[in-house]
Amino acid sequence: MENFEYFEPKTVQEACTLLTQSENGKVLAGGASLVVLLKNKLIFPDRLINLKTIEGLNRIELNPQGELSIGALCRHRDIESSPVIQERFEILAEAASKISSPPIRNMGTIGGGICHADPSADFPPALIALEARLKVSGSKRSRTIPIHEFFTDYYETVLEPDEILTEILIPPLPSPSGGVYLKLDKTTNSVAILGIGAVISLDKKENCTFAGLGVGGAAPTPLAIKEVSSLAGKPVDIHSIEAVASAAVKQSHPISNVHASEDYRREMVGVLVKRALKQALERAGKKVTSS
Amino acid sequence: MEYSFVGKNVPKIDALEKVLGKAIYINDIPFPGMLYGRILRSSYPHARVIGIDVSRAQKAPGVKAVITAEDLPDGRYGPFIKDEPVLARTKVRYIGEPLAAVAATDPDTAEEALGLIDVEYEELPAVFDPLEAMRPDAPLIHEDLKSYFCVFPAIQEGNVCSKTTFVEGDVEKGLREADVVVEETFRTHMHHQAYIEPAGAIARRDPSGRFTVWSSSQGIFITQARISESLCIPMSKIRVIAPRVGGGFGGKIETHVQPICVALAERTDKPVKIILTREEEFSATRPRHPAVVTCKLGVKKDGTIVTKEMVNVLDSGAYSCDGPGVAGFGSLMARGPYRIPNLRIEGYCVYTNKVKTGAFRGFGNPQTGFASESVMDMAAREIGMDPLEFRLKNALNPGDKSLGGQVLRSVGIKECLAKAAEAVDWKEGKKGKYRGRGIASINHISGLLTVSAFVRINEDGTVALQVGTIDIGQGSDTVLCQICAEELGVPIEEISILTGDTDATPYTWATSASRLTYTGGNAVRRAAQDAKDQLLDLAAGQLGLERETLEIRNKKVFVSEDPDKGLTFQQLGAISCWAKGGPIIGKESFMVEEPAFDRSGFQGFPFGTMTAYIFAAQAAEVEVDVETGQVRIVRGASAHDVGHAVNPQNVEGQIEGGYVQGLGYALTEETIVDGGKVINPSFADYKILPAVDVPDLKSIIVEAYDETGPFGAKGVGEPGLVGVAPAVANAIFDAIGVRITELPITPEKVLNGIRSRNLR
Amino acid sequence: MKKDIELRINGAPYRLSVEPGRTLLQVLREDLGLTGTKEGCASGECGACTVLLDGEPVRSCLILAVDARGQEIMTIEGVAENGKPHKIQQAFIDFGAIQCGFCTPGMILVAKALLEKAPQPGEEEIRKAISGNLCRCTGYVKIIKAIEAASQPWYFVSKKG
Repeated sequence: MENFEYFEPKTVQEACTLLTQSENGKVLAGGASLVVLLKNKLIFPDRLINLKTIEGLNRIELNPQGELSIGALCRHRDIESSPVIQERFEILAEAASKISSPPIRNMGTIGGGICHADPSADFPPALIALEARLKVSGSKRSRTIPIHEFFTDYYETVLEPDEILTEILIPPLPSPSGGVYLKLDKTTNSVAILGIGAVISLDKKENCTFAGLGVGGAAPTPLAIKEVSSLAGKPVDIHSIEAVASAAVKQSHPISNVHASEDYRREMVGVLVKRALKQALERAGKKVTSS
Repeated sequence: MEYSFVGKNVPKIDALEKVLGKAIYINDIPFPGMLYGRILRSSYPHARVIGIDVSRAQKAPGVKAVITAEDLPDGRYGPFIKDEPVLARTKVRYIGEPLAAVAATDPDTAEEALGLIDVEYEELPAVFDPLEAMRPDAPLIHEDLKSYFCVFPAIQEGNVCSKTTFVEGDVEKGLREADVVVEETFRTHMHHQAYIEPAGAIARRDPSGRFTVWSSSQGIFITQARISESLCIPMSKIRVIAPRVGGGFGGKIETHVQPICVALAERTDKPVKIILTREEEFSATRPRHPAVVTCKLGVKKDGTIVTKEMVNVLDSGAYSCDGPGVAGFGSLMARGPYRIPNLRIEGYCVYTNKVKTGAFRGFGNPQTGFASESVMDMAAREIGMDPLEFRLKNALNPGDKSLGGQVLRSVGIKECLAKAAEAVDWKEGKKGKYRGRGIASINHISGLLTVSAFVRINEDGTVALQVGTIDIGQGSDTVLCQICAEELGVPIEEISILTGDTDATPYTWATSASRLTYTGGNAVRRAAQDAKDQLLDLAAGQLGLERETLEIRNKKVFVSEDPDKGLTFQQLGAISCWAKGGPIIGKESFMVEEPAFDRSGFQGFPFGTMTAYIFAAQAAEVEVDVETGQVRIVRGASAHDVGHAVNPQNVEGQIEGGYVQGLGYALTEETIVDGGKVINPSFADYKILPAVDVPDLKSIIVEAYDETGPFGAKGVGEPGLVGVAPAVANAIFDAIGVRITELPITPEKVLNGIRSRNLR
Repeated sequence: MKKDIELRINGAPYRLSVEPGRTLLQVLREDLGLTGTKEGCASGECGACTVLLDGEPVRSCLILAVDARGQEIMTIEGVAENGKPHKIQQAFIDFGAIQCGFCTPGMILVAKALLEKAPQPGEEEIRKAISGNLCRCTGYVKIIKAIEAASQPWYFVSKKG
């Protein structure tokens, strides 16, 4: 690998400053994606800034309002095994459990995964379904970005060169809620051909009060399927699910690659969105009606 | 019969060093002053090489040598047709073909130097499909084909580098007798061995000019010969040694980097190491031949098969390599383990402008087997017969003949079929709407060419075994020691085994063809018998008695009537060394010659005798997701007739490993080539099965004792893979009535099939 | 520009001077002669490079050596106890779980980490734990049996397969 300067900052500000001072510096989180890029000579940073030496970026905390804060340096494995996430936001634990392999999950971080912006990554569809917001710090300002505005293209985000993702905020989910992450892959947990994240919340009368839907692998960026909000305000039935699935298919513009053709991907968006919504509803404690 | 060592789960003798992480593989070997090599590869599938300018690379700091074909003699190598150069000279024929090589002080420097080599190409029209390549107007890939040296009388034309034909009986007559004729064309794909240890070598020249090459290899004598013929160096000047090898499956028989290492070592007078990157492994080694196979089967209403025809076209890629053998062998195996009176089978090996293909577990049998065993099911269903019953009805019995008229005595196929079927509850009803079961039965061989062995009785009565075989993980070192131990009556702990050194171990053709237990085992057993003879003679002389009065047991030669009177191996070993002047050395060079083929119906078959037929049946139960097309293997079973399992645990390991590789071949693995370029050269994009995707799997050993094998044993290395893909395809048909004729069986193909049957 | 670091490997400290771009795998194999950890693909897919970092399996080919400071690294060379095979290693031998042996060091480390967290995992859990370690020879069947056996309390006493 080309030589680069290596830093171990103690604070986020220090890390942002280091980025500002460099030409094309990169941050190092888990390294699972970054080191591959380095070894394959796809990036040539002049400096590498290790974020793991900054305290406080790997906490998982639920505030009294039920909003979840996940530090960007939390490893996939921390999210997979977190009791509070398993109980309240199971879609996220499920997405984490389907990433690659256990050793990669011991290394990779949720922040790294999001910022790498692979359109087939497993977290974004789940985070989109949960309407997550991303807290980002730069050398001059901090801001919070809704996840569906974060991705701009393949491997590209709205992050400025001096900005670092520090926290992922998940709004509270009313009870009962059900969430599911479905992954279509060639072998178990290999790179997703498609990833579907679906969340449904119900009120006491079994009307849907909230629905979220994210689709990965079907476009240059993970997709937020806005049509899913049409499920709210009434019981969820098969026709409304099918309408959302059709909208998702229309919104998709996938590519063909060695794992699947674009036609297959597009068709599977419809199939899997239906399955995901049905399963999310089941996990919320209700079965889908046919009326 | 109960033996002391044979038939026992003796722990593998290399297991301890491997679990401790102390086993030495090629990339673990350091030498002082060692240089690292990297290879510049063609970026065009078919082009003339106008010029190569290495001057900038030569000047780069840390670079010690840069070579092109200009620096090498014009030697060509190949197992059947000597058509392949070490470095491309006037022409490149596939993307990835080596053009130049660099030796430098570290791998990164060598890699960067490749970017400083300028190549001028003149592109030529390329052809990527073997059927297109057979057309008279196809671009000619080897213009000088007819001038290449062939080790057998090859039938060649245009881009067809070999053609093998088998004819028995009269297929026209057979067609007239048939009540039902089923015909279909199948396509199989490029499939990579994907061993976890990348291939590599180190070459070092000594002051006398002799080269020693350490090589992650299955064929050290083959490597020695290829280096010799490609670089025009006498074989006496080349020594090849194999350290521990991390898997091969056929992909490490022929050379990859060894001649280049030798050429660089000669230039630099330093040891030179080249280890292939994973990308090079997937794009520029020798994966399995893709094939187009048309198969026609004629059967009577009562289920008797009367005729079979097959045309099997193999895609050889840019060079022939093992292709003629694969075409020939796959065609030989294509009759299957059945009595079929009328046969016509043609196998073609065809050049295309893709990466050259080569040996991989099954060697042509998986390709023809996919067609054969799919058509068996199609015919069975056409006449309304259970596919298992159909196979049993036509299956070989002891006393039947192989294709080529060899009388087969050890034939366990019916038991294999019955047991594999039982293991998946064949007779029970379906457990789900989209569930199904499938079965396939196959034959293979395990006796081929030569293995030699020395068994030396040391001065202290312990034993030194030397064989040129190489244990690539299948356990041959252990099995050969077990056979030696059993024959001599010496515990395995008192036997040392040396393998894999062309200077120190006697010749073997290769670790391949499922042959080490049968062919190697026979060599070792007979060498041990020779040693025993000499022990008896020596003891007789020492005791002043007739040989016939003596017997050997428990490391002692003693008088049968008076067991206290005798000499121990320890005594005899010492006597032989000191009183006689040297140790007893038992020797054998076992060559497979009997039973010979009746070759009257053979044309262009590039092998001599092959024998020791082995049989297997593989079964699968599947469940199809009819919305996504995904196929889940619910469970699998694989039953193998191995004659007699010398080490049952090892045999199971081969059965299980073969089945899982077979599932990959059937479902998830494919080297994808686009415009001649391999576009998925990584484990991220070439998917072999992880542990979570392996179903419940039963491995079943069947023993139809083979009198000609060592303690009744035959081989098992390859068949584990061969029948899995057709078993899966047959199970899918049983589940949803969709016949997939193209491998791998992807969800998209399944969905297309479902759509055409309106199942959704 | 080289950085001076101290790594703790198999319980012992090592002082090294390394370029930041060197991976832990390179340092283990090339600088420290610990060649039991293997390179199979160099991109974190095959698992042959698996080591334990603070008791958890990771891909040493994707970890920069400078990034491994301050953590306990265990390689295959550190598994045997006083020169005798650990029960997992013995189980691999007894159950025929080793063929070519190239995936074996990684598998054993993953198994060790698993059994320390989940002393009696079932077959499913074992499969998941080793799902990141590719084996091309065995089909995983006997590897799983070996790990299952090693997790049994009786295993150490009775070593027969």
